[in-house]
Amino acid sequence: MGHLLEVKDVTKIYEGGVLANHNVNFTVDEGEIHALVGENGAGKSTLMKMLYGLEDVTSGHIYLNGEELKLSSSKEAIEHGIGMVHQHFMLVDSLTGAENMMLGLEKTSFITNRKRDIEITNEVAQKYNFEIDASRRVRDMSVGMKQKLEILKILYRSAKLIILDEPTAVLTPQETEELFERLLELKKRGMTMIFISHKLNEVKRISDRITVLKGGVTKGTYLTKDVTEEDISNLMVGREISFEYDKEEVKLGEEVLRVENLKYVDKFKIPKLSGVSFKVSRGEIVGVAGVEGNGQSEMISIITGNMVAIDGKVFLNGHDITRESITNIRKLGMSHVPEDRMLDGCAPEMSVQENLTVSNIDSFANKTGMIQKSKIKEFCKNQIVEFNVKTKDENQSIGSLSGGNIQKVIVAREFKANSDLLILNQPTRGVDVGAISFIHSKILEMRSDNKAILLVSADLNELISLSDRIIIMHKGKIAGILSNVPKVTEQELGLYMLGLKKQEGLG
Amino acid sequence: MEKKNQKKFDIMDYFSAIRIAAALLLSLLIVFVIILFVSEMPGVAIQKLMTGPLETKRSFFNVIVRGIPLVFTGLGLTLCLKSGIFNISSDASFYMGAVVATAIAISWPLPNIIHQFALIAAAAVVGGLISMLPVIVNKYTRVNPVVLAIMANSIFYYFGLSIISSFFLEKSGSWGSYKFPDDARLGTMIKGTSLHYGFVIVIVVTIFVIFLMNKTSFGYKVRVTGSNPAFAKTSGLRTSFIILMAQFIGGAIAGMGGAIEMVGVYKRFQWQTQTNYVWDGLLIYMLANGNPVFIPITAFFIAYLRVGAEIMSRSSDLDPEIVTFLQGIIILLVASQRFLYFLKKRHDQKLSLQQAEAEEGGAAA
Repeated sequence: MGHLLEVKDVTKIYEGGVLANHNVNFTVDEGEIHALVGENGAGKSTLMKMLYGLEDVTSGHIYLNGEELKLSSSKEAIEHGIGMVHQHFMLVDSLTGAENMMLGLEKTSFITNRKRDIEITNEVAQKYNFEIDASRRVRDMSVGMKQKLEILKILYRSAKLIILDEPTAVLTPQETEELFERLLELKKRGMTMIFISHKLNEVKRISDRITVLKGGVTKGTYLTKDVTEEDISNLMVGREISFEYDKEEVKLGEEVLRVENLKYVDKFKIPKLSGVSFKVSRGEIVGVAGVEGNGQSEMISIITGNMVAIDGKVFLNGHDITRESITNIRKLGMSHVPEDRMLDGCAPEMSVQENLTVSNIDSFANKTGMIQKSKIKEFCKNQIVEFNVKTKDENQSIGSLSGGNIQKVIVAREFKANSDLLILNQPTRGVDVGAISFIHSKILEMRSDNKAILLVSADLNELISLSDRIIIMHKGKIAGILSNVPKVTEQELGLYMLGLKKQEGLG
Repeated sequence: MEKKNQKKFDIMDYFSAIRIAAALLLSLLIVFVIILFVSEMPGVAIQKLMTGPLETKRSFFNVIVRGIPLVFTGLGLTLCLKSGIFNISSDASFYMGAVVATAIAISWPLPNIIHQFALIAAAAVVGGLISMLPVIVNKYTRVNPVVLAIMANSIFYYFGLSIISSFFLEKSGSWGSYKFPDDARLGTMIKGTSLHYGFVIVIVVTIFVIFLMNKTSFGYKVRVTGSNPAFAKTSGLRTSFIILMAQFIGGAIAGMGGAIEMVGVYKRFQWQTQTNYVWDGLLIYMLANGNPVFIPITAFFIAYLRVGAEIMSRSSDLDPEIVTFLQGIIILLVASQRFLYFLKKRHDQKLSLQQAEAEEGGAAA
């Protein structure tokens, strides 16, 4: 039987010599949901980008229906019936659902017909049983609805093969469940799907076959019913993962961070924070949960001094830092591991050494401002050993390291700054499992050292295993504060994150 | 382990060295071909262009004198560009530096040495302040700093010209200011040549910039800010202040260059046209790969070509403007990131495949 898609010996080397895929082989049959699993950085997204014509293939072949496929743009991929739902939505926020639906289509007339566009969109949505509001602007849609719109866009372009790149990353458990039902329905209609995820329970639930990628190499394809989650996880990482830690008993110390009634409105006049108050004390990890876009990033930006709140106050060790500069906030005792590590966390072209010393460079300089190179070198060598950074030496440019090692460098820098408060924004996003458990152990070490830690994460498992308390945000408000953390389930967090459950009397 | 690393770095530098060398050779070749087509005596022309400056002591030192202002603009630009702002207002600083030097030379009688010191220092301050303007105006108006810098170059040219015309113009003879008193000029270092003491100052300033950029925490902060401003800001660096300081120092160096050129080479202010040193400075910055150590080398190389072209035009039927071809092609090739890129790409690919195979072999063993 012929395969719909066959990937043969595909190798991809990025500029700068990063080897993302090395002789990758796998096939996809018509009408199946084929899961592609692997740790972050295993090369899943790169492979999909090549299938979708976004990246060129360094060597190897891709066959679609037995014919060799050579794509130079995503437009050609769409013409061949391949569609992709990206990890980050490719939608125009200020346009309506229907407008997004029609965007980029060649058959659209020069003058748009709103009414007809909405009709068509609703028709397509009904056909596939997707509920969306076509006349609503994308920025006012829920994440789940955006996701559905993305899939509809592809279906409307008559795709036969749909690539879903981590579609559930931003969804709540309930939204995920709904998405899966729709996907299974599509499968019944004869659609073929490639489903990328590293959430094994989801893969197990939805896929027919599984291909495992590790370090850019295919580890094999398996029938889903033949393998257990443990099997897959062993193939992915080579060992079992467990996020259960024995947490040391730490007595709560004095209060370090206090946030009072924070309010913020974005440039579209949409309220992002509507009165958030909480505090963090020494010796505790306070987790922040919430579906992306419910005010967490705004809150962190305000606390760390990157944005100014329209109302409310932030206190650090009793000092009002609401309008302080980042320089002063750091001096008062705050460290920050930013969400976007390549943009805010490091200077990719500079060396590991230079990236390790940026926030405390003055402590390595003598009175005349001259840098003491030997002192820096010693400090960096120690950090590289202590934080287990895999680099040739401290002079290698940080951009050439893997995501996990870059993150270790950033964590080393921020943890060694000797601050009272650590703000960790997605500290393990896109990091391999080995690095995750290492970073987790360091976070717990800081807790034992009596630091106050505020942890924002999209990984609910991580929040539950590390935090002492979890704050759940929904629509710019605190929907709940849970202190019985080890007993909290992901499902319970999901209910709060979706706004289905709410504690009264909070901010 | 240590040694292996060293090798990798050498290869990376080796790639930029090859690129620049190839760009130079290729552009020379193109210019030779042009000369062959347009000249009646191509042999003489090419020979004079390439070896002319070495023929007499006088013309050799001319190369150095011509190179001095290029070093100043190149170094000044290094600071401005390394901070991440494409601030090319060095011409404004350079021209106004010369104007300020003229004003102080003519109107403040001061003893020798103190006089030169005062006028260079004043030129540096004025040059530095002018260089900060594009960044400051950009902060409040969001106009692209490149546009502002080019505007500043024009505005301060006319401003400086009008200062000279209104206050310091000698009414008789050709256009020019009053003569500088001898105690304001820099004096010749070697008799029978045009080499002035500005050469000593240029060496000091070069060492200062290399030291500042590579050895001090300030230089480090400038490099971080230029490399990734968002990161610098999140890390608590005062990026606005650092950028402004870098512009000030860069502009000050350009301003000093203007003053030194004026009182070192000229007897009176005679610049009736814009100096356009900034474009030469950019060329030098690119050829030096942004490394202050190489700025003087490339600056004197460009000066050598200029002097060679002039000697060529005197002894053949060609105009000295032929070197602008040369410069144009060099800029094009050095600036185009894809020139000879396949070399680097091939090397990188080979390296990572080797690495992958070594790892696989290691895992199997």
